[in-house]
Amino acid sequence: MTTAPTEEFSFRAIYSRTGAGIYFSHLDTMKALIRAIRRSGLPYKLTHGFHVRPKVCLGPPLPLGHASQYEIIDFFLDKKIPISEIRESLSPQMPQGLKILEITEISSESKMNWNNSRVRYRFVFHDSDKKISLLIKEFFSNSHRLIDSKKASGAKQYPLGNFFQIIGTQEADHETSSIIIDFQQGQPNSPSASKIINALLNFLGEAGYNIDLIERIAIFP
Amino acid sequence: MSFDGEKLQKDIDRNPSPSYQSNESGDPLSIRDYLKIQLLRNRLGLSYAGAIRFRYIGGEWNQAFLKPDAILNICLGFPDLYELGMSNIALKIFYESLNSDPQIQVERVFSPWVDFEELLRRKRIPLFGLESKRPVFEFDLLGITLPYEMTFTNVLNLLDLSNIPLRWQDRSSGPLVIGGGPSASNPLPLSEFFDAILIGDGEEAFLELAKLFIGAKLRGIQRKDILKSVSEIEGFWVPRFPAPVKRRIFKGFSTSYPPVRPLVSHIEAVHDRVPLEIFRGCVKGCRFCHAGFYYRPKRERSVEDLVKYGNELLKNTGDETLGLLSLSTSDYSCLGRLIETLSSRKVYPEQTLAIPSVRMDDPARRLLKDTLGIKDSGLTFAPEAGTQRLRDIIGKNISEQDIFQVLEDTKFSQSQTMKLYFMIGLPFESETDVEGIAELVLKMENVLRKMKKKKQISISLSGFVPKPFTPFQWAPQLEPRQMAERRAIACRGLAKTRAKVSWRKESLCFLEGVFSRGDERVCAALMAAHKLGCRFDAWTEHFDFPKWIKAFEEAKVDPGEYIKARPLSTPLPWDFVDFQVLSPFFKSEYERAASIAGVEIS
Repeated sequence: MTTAPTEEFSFRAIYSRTGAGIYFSHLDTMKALIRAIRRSGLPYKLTHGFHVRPKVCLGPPLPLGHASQYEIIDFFLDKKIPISEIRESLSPQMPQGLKILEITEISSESKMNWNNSRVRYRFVFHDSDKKISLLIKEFFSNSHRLIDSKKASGAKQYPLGNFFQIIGTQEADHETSSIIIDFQQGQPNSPSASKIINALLNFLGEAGYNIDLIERIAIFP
Repeated sequence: MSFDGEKLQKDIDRNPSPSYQSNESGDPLSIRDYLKIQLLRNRLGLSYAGAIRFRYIGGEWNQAFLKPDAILNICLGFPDLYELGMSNIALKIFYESLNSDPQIQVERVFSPWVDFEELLRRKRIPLFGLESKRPVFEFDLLGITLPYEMTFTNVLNLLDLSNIPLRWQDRSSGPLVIGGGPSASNPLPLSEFFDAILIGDGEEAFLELAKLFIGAKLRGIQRKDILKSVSEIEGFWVPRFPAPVKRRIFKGFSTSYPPVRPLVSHIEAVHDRVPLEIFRGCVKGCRFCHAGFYYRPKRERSVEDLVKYGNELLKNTGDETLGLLSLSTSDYSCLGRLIETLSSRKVYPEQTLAIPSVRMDDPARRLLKDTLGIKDSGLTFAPEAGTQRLRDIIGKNISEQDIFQVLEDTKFSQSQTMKLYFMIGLPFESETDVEGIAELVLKMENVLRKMKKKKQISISLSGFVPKPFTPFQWAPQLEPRQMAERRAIACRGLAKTRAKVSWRKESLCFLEGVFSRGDERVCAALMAAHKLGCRFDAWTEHFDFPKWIKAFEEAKVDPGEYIKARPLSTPLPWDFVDFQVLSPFFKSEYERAASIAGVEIS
């Protein structure tokens, strides 16, 4: 005998990871979010695997140490519940460092696909002598620069190429500056944003200690 | 360098903003800055890899709110890594119960890992409470739990990093340093370092201490006089006012409220489950088992209460696994009903149970048959000895038949692994007993083969350490060399099986023996070891036995003395502790063990 599948309602939450949240690994974040969903009392859907848990789908992983204003989690409920109620239930259950920014209902077909997506990063740094600004520009000026990439198939190097775009720079005051850069992800033989940022930090050396914040501020599918 | 805890907390709470003072500015840095630097170092492949984690930040779910008007500030210290301390039930009990009092603020501190320690020392930042980031030396009380002996040097390091003088004689200000826990039941090896040591259950005693301190603080009573009053609380031994002390028993355990809002670690703690202590104590009376005597008498919580607390725990944490804790969970008188009721009143549809301590006897068999809904986190049993003769001597009341019956019932378990604990160097042990370990494992493998059940057996061998307040407190402990020889015999036999074998270092067992049955002279050796850089001794990568040998030499202490047999007729150093178990009982039990072995003891 088979039972009819129950209805499933899909929702997408955009949340931020700031403050203490930047020290969460991707796995730690997933566990913290699943705990929050459980505590919220929402009628969540379960996975069907050996280890049953609330069914969720997370956006692209954020490297440890990066802040974000645009993290994504899709979750699935048994019942259709107004967005405001979901938000009221879920928001108070988010741990320090994670904050719900927006919840929307999505169609069950709209699966996450971050191949060929663009991620926008903001770097904030102390730069009274403009040394870092110059170094960052120097780093991105060489499109032949090789970026290390370790994969299961082995270590590889990809050229930096044109997989980035400097959107703008801003001088907050005479000491602090920020720069916004878009990175193209998921294309064949292209380095990921995190690999490029690692290479940038390596390139900056000790000057990199003046970076206050590395923050993902948007993802464009 | 000044240290501004309030600024530091604000730095952590708020979003990172561009207004930070940089390392180059010469201004004091916040912890947030240090961590950031570590992160960059880590990313750059420099040293301190792994320093960045949640260990030093706090802010976990269910963290206590700060009470600026609290009269008493207590810092609870755990002398090992955050991941271990966050699974410690004592820490959870005291954190929640004391924080429920509006007059008391309780925070936590853990031993920092060596990378972070180096950073703290280099930047001259004193160790701080995770909640407010206030330096530990600004608290009124520092309560350190002592779960195992090999954390003793971490205690000294924790004090040192907190800028608290290591010896109580050198302290005229700063927090009172209070110790407690099973490895302090003989408090003498730590007598120079603690202002007071609690022997026994802490629920009531620590609260009485806190109330006493609040009163004393409001009346401006001097440190020495406070300690005099502490020495009058049942269970506390104060080295400054040494007097006989009675082990504290929490008689109200059965009706007491367990911690139901435990902190939820954001990084994986060693035990990834919410713990519910279903009963305390054990009446099996195994002659080697310190915990069995330390936690006496057996006190059970009711099924109704446990179901209520268990559900609250799950609701308040969002965890999926409820761990039913005790010394031997299968001995809970209504375990079947408890499991059944928890299963019928689930908070989350996917919730599971974890039952970590199971004896190889009848209740365990029933439990194995009822494993639905129980987290299959592996089967772990402790036959302890390889032959029936030795199991009878040590009072491990399980027969070979019990073992095989339990083994048959493991067919209900989906677990592919089975871990078995054995001790070597037990009193009255012969080589035949050691060889018996492999023989027993071979027979068990045959049973599994006949059952057509593939299970990987893992054997853990550990050297026997005689503990105070057990019938074997007079027994000799094997020297490391002898213990290694016995282990080699066991390993030779086990090589004929398919079992995986691991063992505890003999030198570690030796030191544990010295600390367990040591006296005041051991303090000097601990101090010397600390100065030589010993810490995290329970961690293989940090344990440095040659340094310990040097420390004993410098302290002019012969550690070998402490592992020798003690005559039944001479007083023991820890006799001033009334353990609430009659000493003649221990003696008669030791004599009974000897008579089973056919040996006469003097």
